[in-house]
Amino acid sequence: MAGRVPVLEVRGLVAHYGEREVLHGVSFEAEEGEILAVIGGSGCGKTMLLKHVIGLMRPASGSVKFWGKDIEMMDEGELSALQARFGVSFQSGGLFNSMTLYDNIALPLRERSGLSEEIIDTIVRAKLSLVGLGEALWRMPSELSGGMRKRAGFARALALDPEIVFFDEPSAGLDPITAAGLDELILRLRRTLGITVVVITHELESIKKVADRVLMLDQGNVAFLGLLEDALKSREARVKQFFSRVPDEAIAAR
Amino acid sequence: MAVDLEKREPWMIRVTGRLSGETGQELLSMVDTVAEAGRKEVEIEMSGVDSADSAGAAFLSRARERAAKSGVAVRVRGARGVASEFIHLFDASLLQSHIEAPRKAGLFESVGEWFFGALIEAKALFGLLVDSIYWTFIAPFERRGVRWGAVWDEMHQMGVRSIVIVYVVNILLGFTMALLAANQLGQVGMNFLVADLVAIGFTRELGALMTAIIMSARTGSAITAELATMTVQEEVDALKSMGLNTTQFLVTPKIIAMVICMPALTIIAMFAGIEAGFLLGVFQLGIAPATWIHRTIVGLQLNNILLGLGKSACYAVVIVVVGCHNGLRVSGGARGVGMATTRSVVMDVFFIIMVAALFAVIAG
Repeated sequence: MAGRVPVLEVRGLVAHYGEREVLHGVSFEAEEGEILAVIGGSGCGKTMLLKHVIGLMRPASGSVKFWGKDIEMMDEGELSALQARFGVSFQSGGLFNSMTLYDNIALPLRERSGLSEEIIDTIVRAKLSLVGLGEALWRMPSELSGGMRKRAGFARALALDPEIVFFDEPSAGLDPITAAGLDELILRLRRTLGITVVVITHELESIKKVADRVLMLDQGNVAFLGLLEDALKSREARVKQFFSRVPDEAIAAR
Repeated sequence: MAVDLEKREPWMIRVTGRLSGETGQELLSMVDTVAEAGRKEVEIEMSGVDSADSAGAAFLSRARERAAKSGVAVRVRGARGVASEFIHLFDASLLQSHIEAPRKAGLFESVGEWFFGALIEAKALFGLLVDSIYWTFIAPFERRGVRWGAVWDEMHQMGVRSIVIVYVVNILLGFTMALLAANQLGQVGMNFLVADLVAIGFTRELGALMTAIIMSARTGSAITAELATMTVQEEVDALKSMGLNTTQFLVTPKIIAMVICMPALTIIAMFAGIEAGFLLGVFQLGIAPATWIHRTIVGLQLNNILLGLGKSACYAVVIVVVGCHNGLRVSGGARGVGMATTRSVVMDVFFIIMVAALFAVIAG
């Protein structure tokens, strides 16, 4: 679809972690309704990239645009309005430990939607049912397993009907059944609601199942950007190594 | 975007445009109208709906629920695409959770819960106290190890770093007490007795008590915060899984360090109080230094000093055991850590005053 403005467009993003430069000019875009997998080994800058894209950290240089608008140019109010249009599910859930699951999901709705408690109640129950936590409404986060916490983080990210969702390591540390369930959920969200999804992961199974396109980072540089099929066929050493799970020593020995 | 009611047979509500919070609201009130009109049946025609959101779907779900309650049969027709997905997602029969919020406990239940909670807690506290006493005062003589490196660190952190605050607070308290006493005793011309009073007061009660209260705020809270964070982050479980005894590993070094440091700090506190009394007596009340020193020496009695130091050792055990108790029992993340720390300081002050009262009764 030529000429359409991508939902998310990142150009030449350079980021520092303290003194160290961790992203050396990363560029990519996410089109409406696609699932983009951001992949790469541990410590390659995936989570840093996410934090810059969602406006928690400011880039040293480069730009991040949502629907064609640069977040650097936005004032507080515009940024806040934009942040209501995307949902973020953090690596360890990011749930508020002092609140029940119910209140965790209800919080963004109470603060931002202006709906009545009755309707918020229905939405909270529906979103928690969607991730299979309908029974756990009144539990505290500390009473949940890691996988449940992650799913609850999902539900909260979806509370305000976002148009683009960021998932940081959705299936890391989960059993294969739950992980597969989450992959299924991501696909379903895209299929039914047309949500754009950016998923940060290093789980091969999950990438192969959900991704349309792949952005591979390697030591802060873009190692690959393109369709999943092309990534699987790529002859590029780093990409091949990742998809065939070859340890680093093997490359060094050659 | 609109919601219209068509009164043909059966009545039909036609939704077009976006099924959103606003249209949903209208839809809900329209279903109420249908129910009030005494109709038994209504159709909701959605073929003109091109988009939807959660709020709209939630209103629809509520509307169906209300209609069912007032005996109106609802048929939803023609929903397509995203709208039908949302409606499906919010279908009341598919929501697994009709679980109500847990009921708030009644008066008797709360009182009972509080009472049994207190009993269980008292048991845990007593258990930890016994355990600590064993691991601190008996086990080392059975050739079980003490982590002397940790004791040394704790002594520096708890003791040496508290010297200034203990000194300053007791100087100020010494002034206050001497002034207060001078105002009263001055009326009968017995100003010089202030020296006795300050000496007895600080050696027997105040030195140890003030030090304990400062230390509960400074060290007791720190102990709780440290152990609570360790518990929350599964460090305590890691220790247990290595076969290490948590009391021996975490509590004992702190008790040994505190039992050594608290009496030492109390001596500083006693000295500070008496020094403040002296300064006030000589410079403010105009009493001869020699007289004041003489009266002070009369007031200083070995058994009072020993009583004060003995009490401070007991306070030390109280502060560490209460601090560790609250730290190890923590639950529920960041907020839990904060609550445990608050509890710990409150319990410290309570138990310290209780021990002081016990000593006062026993020592007559």
